[in-house]
Amino acid sequence: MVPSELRRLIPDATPALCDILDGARGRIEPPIRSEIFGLQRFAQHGRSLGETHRAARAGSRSAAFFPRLRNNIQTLREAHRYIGIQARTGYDISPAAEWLLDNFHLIEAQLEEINEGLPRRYFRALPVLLDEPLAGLPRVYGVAWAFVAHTDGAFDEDLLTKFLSAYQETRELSLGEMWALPTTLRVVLIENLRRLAERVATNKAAREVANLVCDRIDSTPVEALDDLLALLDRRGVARVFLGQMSLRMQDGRTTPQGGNRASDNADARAAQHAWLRRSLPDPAAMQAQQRADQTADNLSVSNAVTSLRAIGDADWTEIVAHSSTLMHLMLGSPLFEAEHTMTRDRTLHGIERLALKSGRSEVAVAQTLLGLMHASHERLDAVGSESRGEVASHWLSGSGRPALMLELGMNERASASWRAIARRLALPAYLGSLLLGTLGLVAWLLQIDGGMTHSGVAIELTLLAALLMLFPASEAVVAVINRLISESAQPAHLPRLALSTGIPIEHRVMVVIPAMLTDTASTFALVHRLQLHHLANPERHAQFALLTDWADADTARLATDEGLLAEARRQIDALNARHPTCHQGGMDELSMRTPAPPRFLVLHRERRYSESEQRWIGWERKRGKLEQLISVLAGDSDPTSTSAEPAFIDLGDASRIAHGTRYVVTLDSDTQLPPGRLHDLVGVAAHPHNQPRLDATGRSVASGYAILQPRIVTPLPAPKDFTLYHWLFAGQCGIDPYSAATSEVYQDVFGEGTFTGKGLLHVQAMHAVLSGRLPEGRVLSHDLLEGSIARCAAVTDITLIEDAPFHADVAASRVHRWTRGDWQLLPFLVDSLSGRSDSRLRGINRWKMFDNLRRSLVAPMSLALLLLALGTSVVSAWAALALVLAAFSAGPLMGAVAGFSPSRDDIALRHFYGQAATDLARTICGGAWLLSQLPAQSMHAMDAIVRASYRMAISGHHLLQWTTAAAAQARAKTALPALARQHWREPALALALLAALLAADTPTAWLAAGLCLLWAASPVWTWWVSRPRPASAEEALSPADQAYFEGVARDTWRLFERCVVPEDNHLPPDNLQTLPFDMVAHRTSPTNIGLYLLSTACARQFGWIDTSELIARLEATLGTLSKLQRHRGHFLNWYDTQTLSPLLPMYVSTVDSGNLSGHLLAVAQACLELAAAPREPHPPETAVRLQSLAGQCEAIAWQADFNFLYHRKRHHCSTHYFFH
Amino acid sequence: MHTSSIASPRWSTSSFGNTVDTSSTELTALGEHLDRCHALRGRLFDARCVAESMHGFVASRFVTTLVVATLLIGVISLIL
Repeated sequence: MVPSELRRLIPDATPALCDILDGARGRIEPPIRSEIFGLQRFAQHGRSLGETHRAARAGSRSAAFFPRLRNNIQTLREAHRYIGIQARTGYDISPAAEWLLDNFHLIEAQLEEINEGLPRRYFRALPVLLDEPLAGLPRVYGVAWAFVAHTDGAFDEDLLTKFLSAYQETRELSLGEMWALPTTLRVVLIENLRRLAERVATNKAAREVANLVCDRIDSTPVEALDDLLALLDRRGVARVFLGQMSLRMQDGRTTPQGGNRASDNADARAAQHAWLRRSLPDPAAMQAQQRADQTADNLSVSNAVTSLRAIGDADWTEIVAHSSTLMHLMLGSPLFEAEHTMTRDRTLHGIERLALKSGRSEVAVAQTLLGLMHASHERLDAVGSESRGEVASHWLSGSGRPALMLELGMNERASASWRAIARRLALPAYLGSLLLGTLGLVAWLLQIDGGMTHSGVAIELTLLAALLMLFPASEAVVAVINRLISESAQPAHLPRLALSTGIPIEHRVMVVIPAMLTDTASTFALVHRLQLHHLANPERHAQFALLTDWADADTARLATDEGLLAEARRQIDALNARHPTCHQGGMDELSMRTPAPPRFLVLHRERRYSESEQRWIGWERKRGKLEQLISVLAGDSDPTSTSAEPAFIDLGDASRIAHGTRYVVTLDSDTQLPPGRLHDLVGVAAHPHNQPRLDATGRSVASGYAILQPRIVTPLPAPKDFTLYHWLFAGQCGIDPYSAATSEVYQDVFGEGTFTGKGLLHVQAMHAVLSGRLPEGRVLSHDLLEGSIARCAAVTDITLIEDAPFHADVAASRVHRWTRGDWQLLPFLVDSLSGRSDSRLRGINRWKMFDNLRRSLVAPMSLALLLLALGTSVVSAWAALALVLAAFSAGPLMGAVAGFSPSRDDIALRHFYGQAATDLARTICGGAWLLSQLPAQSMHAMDAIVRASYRMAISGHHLLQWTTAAAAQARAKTALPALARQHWREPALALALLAALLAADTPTAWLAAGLCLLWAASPVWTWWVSRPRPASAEEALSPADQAYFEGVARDTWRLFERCVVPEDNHLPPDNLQTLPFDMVAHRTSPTNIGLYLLSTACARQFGWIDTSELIARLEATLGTLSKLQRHRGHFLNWYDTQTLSPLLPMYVSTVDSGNLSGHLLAVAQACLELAAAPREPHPPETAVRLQSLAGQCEAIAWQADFNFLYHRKRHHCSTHYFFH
Repeated sequence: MHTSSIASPRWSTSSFGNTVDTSSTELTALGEHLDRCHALRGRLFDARCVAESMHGFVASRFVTTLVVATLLIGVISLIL
């Protein structure tokens, strides 16, 4: 074996040395490095390369290419390990080796990322080269290789764009190849890094061998040197070995063996010199070449490491847009140009698929598509037709697809027919599955228990049991079917516009919060919420309005009314003064003369007498407010008004609505509108594909959507509010910044979502189909009905935030109201089924209404089923119990079980499965808690159903009875005695049931007793889960943890104590390396500076320094900061701490700059606090100096201008800004 | 072994005014790389591809897989 051969020749050779010089590993490969091209020669090379790149898609049987990524990773780690050993033992290492050592953590991070994102089939779908010697190589790999070779791995967006454009003058790249380029470039860079790292490590090893030989030169015969040279030549490092030998022998730094054989040694030395001259005739040239190679390797390594990150940060959308022929062509369509990147991608993928299917090029398909879009647009202009032909999705996946297929010479009759049938049969298939699943489950449960065969059981009882079982069984089956659909159906994505310069004036929007003016504090909270909406969504053409009523009253006016309205107006005026509007941008003379409408409004209504409520209320409550607002915005006079009075009280400028408002976004008073969501919602609404189109009657939306319903997510609870109830039932809390569309079964399968009261309304369409449509005094839950008539789309990739109830009684109160509202829609459902209403609701909407009624009966029917099973032997009580539990927990349980399947393999499995087990436990606890509340829920549900039915059929009163969430929350009790008094009926009912079951001689007495006692204790369970459990002493750190953290903090401060010194201008170093010896990096960044300043304030807080030292340190560092070069208020990302000069390349890092600004503001607050409340007596000038420091910190923090870093198209800040 | 004398260092990234076409050295290097990648794929490459695809399919359809497996087992046990 070769390693043993090396060991035989050099006994001192370490195993690592033998391993890295193992000849069996073959010769080290040269780096991927060729002549560096400038722009012009690169373009020529691109054209030349394109001409030679004849390619086609690989056949399914041909061997797919896969790069040796894993092998590269292994080799890189080995090389790093070897270089690390060398560095630690004090040997000199080359700059390239230093680069590798310093940046290997970055390389490792990239390796993981690339490895994750490169499945084995990655290159299989891409065209491969046809001609030898590269036959079978993906074409894009060849392109990436050439780019890396001729740039020495230095990524440059302009150069790449030019290269790709030139390449495509002779050979068109597919879009898939363009998008594969970032990953492929990184793979090639890793290949290059592997070569460089292996070369650096192996060269280092060869020099080590030379040193070892020279150290015992007298005992090494020339024959052994020959063997050694041959051995090293097999690894390709013979010349490096010779170079080092030559250096050592020139220097005379060889180590002669002692003894009396001086003349023998002289002869041997002469022979060795002769051997070296023979082997290396021109050592000077060779050493010069080696130095050149080392310099080149150093540059290549730094280029590769920098490029790996730069490729991740690059704007690939822009690169593809500038270099793809297909994109160039498609950008000729104004609509495509205006669309959001996600929507464009959908179109491009559609073209890609069609090209693959038709055998035509992507450009040819795009030309055909654009031709159809253009012709349709012209027709639209000519006849004013309301076609969607100008939208690409109409032709790619909509009703225009057959025409496009025809143009492409393809026949898709069979699949088109299948799609039409599938669309038509979706609802029957869905409902049929639910029915069959439910019946099957009921039949199975009856059959396994043998209930049907009990001779003593009356058939009526069996039928009754089956009837009761239908409800919990249907609940479980609905959960399963919906889960199966959501796992397989592609989440719907609605096309949208980018609106890269913000919401334009023609898509003006108003955000409204329907609410009540009840007291000053709640008004302040509403106004504050309005301000937050604006701050998060500072759109020029958006107004933010409170849409208010006074509370219900027995008279038209109350004495407190005027005061409440005046206060609301005062606060809105103050808000307008704080956030004034600028000129609106209209170019006509009128808009130039009209003052800009205010940003904030209060639109308030007078009360009207309600026959239903027998009181004075805001007409039709929230529904009425919105209907009246929509009418006003649509330019109609208030259709509901019996007099000439306007819908909203004239409050002057505070109620001045902007002309031409096209959309209303309605939010509840506790709904948060996160940054950018308003823009996103309007972007969806503004896209022609989604614009609502009315049918011939003008009273129904035939296509498109008049309502957009975003997804509602729950925020993380504040520690003081946390309750077990919230933990059990609020679901996954918090915002996922990378959230994508999620499955919403109704939208994904039936093309319609469900309106839940918070979303965007299209003014004209809503006015056309809903104005004056719904009867007065009857509709409580209007959202579902409005969504059904006006067509609602669920936009699951846009989220709003709204908290879930923390108290079980608040949740129960909400469900009670919903149930009443759902049952009050029963007449609409019956009318729609019988065709008596003026427009029939679509099938899916009728099902939603029916499903709500079904769901409200699940709890009462489950209770009845359990009692029947416990009291008789018609069905097993255990089976009934299992069915009821399944009904309550099937949905969450499936989610929790699915949570056990990791989607990646690089995760901390213990933590992952711990979290999954917690989720599962939570689901099971949730199911058990719901079971304990079964009688309570049943009573609530029946109460709501009976009340609604009585009011609808007999009294006609209180159909609009409404309790606000705030009122329900205020009524909720958290003390056990109070809760027990409030919920006395449940224990009474449970004990009565137990007595009845025992009297009826229940066959499962123990189970009956257990369940009834569980139910009897339901107030205790309600109290248990609803009492606030603020994070308290039980979550305090243990003394050991406390000591550990304090130790870490003290050590951290010790670093600053030792390293922030006058020689470094009182700036903190970037790092202190302790191995192989202490070495301070004399460079710093804004983050380092900010953390040091904040640490100084913390050190004062901990008592490690006194106030005078704090002041001295802060003044010294701030003094240095005033001398540093800055760019538009930003500190540059790296400075030499000794010379204060910026390090090249000079750039602003957004993250670092933001860190420093934030830290400076925190330090300013600490100084002010210390000045106001000194921790030890200090002279008056100390407070003055602290205040002065606070002022300086704040001034520096606010001087940084972040505007130029914001990328309006990508809606985020650039991570870096380089300048020269 | 052969060690030729070099008069001055040769920079691989320098321009010598050659044609911009792909050089035979580049072509050979890339060809060798292609061969090495093929050699390192291993015999079970295709099977691993299929396994990866299966894993991707099943991981996103975990409950569906469980339901289908349960139904299959149920049907088989009924038949047997």
